[in-house]
This record gives sequence, C-alpha cells and structure tokens, in this order.
Amino acid sequence: MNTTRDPCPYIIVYDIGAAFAMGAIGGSIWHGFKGYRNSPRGDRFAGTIASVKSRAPVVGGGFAVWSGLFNAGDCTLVAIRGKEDSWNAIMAGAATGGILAARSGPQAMAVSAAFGGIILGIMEGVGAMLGRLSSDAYKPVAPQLDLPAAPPAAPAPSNNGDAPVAEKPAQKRGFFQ
Amino acid sequence: MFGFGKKQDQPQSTIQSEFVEDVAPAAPQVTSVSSASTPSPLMSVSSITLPGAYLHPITKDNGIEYLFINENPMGVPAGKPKERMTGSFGPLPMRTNYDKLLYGTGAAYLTGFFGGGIYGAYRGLQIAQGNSFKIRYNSVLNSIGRHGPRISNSMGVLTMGWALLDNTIYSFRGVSDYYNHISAAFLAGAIFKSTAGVRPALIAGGLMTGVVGSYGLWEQFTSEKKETKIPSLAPAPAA
Repeated sequence: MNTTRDPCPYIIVYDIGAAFAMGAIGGSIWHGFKGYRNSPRGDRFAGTIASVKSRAPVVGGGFAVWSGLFNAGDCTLVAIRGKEDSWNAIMAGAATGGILAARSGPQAMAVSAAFGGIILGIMEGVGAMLGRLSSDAYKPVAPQLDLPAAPPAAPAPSNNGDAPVAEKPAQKRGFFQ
Repeated sequence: MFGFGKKQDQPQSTIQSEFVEDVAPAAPQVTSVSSASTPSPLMSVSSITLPGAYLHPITKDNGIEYLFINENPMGVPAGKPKERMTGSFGPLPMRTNYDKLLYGTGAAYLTGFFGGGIYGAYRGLQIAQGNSFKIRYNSVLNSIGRHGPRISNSMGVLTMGWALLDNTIYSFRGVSDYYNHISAAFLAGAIFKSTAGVRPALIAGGLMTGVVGSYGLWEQFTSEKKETKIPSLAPAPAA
C-alpha cells in the first residue's frame, strides 16, 4: 500500500483539486502573458485580465477532468486487480486518453490512448528511477568484522554415498528482527 | 527488539535480571548478581540483561516493533505544547493549508460539475425545440456541456482563491479561525466579480460570506464529530 497518498476514493478529490490549482495558476501565467502580448498598446492590462479570466479556468478545468478520470480509473483498477503497481497508472492513463477522445472516432481514440499510456509510463519510470537513486544511500551494507581465520574444515563425514547434507545454521535473531 | 531483554530462554549462570517480567518503566538499574559465585570482572556486553521494559516501555517484550505516528509516544514533549491545525475531510485528517486548498478545490469542482450537469439537463429539457427523443437528447447534452464546465470552473476558481487568501491572512495574523475564513470568503467573491463593477462584486462577496459563515455556524452548533471541518488552529492538547 502506498502510504504517501491518502486512501482511494478521497485521493480523487484531492488530485482534482491539485490538478485544477496547477492548471489555473499555470494557465493564469501563460494566458496573462499571452493576453499582454496580443493586446494593443494602452489596452495591455485590460487584455491581460480578460485573457486570464476567460482562459485560465478552462485550462484548470481541462487538467481537473484529466486528473479526475485518471484517478477514478486508477482506483477502479486497484479495486479490481487488488494490487498497486505502475501498470495501474499506465492502464488508467491509456483509458483516460481514450475516453477523452471518444467523440473523435476510433483512430483518434487509439492514438490518444497510446499517448496517455506512454506519458504515464514515462512518469512512472522516472519516478521509479528517482526513488531508486534517492534510496541508494540507505543500501544495507554487510559490516566488516575482524574475525579470526576460520578453523580448517573437518573431513567430510561419510554418509554411505548419499548426497552430502548441508547443515543449516541455527536461526538466530537478527539485529532488526 | 534490539537483542536486549531476550535472554529468558538461554541459560544464565551468573547474572539474572530482575526486570524480565517487569513491564513498567523501571529505574535504570542494570543488573544484579544473584548467584553466589564470584562475578567475573570480564563481562561481555551480551551477558548483560537490560530490562526491556525500561528500554521500550510500550513494547512489553512481545517481539513486535511498533511504528509511532505520534512524534513523542513515550512521554511529555519537551517545551510548551504547540497549537495544531485540526480539520477533517470525511474520515481523513485535513490538517495543513495545502490539504484545505486541494481538497476544497477538488470538492468544489466536483460539486460544480455534477450540480452544473443536473442544472444543464434541466435547462436542456426546458428549452428543447420539439418533441422527438433525438432532439431532446441532443438539447440536453448540449446544455450539460455548456453549463457543467462553466459552473465547475467558477466554483473551482472561487474555492482556490478563498483558500489562497485564507492562507495569506493566516500567514499575516498567525491565527487561523473563522474571522480569517469569512473575510477570505468576502475577498474571494469580491475579486471574482471585481471586473463586473462594485455592486456585483459586493453581492458576490456577500454570497461567499454567507456560504462560509453558515458553514461555520453549522460547525459550531453540531456535535463534535464532523464530517468535514475546515482546518483551524486548535488549542494545544493538555500535556
């Protein structure tokens, strides 16, 4: 279970909020600049405001819809498959891309689905790589013990031609067990 | 847990702990020599039995390792207890300003989405020109597509603005309470409608104030167990 995120039905709401906020703030910057550039001199401020007002919420809404569909698919796959891995995210991304292109015909749907799956696959891969890199510092390392040299091996006991039985060392309590 | 206090099974010739069965946090008396034999001056660390209950008062020698969510499970935290944000979203805690911003925006967006969808369906049935199923269906779909995103976007922007303003006021005042929430609501509504003129701005601010204020009253007069509670600074827990 992923403990860094909230549990499943609620994470949909949380991520919709995150995506909307991201899209709306990023869209404000983007369309503010665009409105400023595309307005005639003297109407720069009014053009900026009008552009942000009309376009930034739409960008946020697009992000929110994508995120909501993706998370709903992710949670559904978690419930169906009973496990949480990268394939959930990839399949949910593909499904989201497909659903959002559903009105453009089957070919556009397929292209969009593949695109969504690839994007999510890249994101998951990069996330796994970063996780591996950042956890490298905590790799368990065998302690270097200054033990005396092992005594010479005893002669192998004769067990009448049977395969030699490896003696299991007695289970000891480890440091962290 | 760490290899200490686990010596009951093994034969101990000279040293026995008095605290093996004692689970209460005891004074740090390490060992006592109970046998009559002369204690060896060469004592290795592994032959010392520390009272496990002293080292870990909660684990009680049962071999289970606990992870504590509380930062200080063993006792009174050092210094003065601090005020903490408390709030909830359904069964989940909503403790930080980011939780408020994101859960609030998401919930408002979804509310607007479905509310706008229902309103759009109603409007579409109302304005349909004709009686055939196809025309009604198309009219309803068009109307949902027009009103759903419009209302949900507006509600998302309003809530996001409210949460950001609330956080800003909190960072200035250092206090998080309903004075913050309500004034942030008025400001958010007024800024949202600021381009339409003074009167619409004041009306929008008043509407937002009404919504947040009535939510606060509802929170005030319902029982302690709330479904959704806006994060506010709670008095410090009794140490």
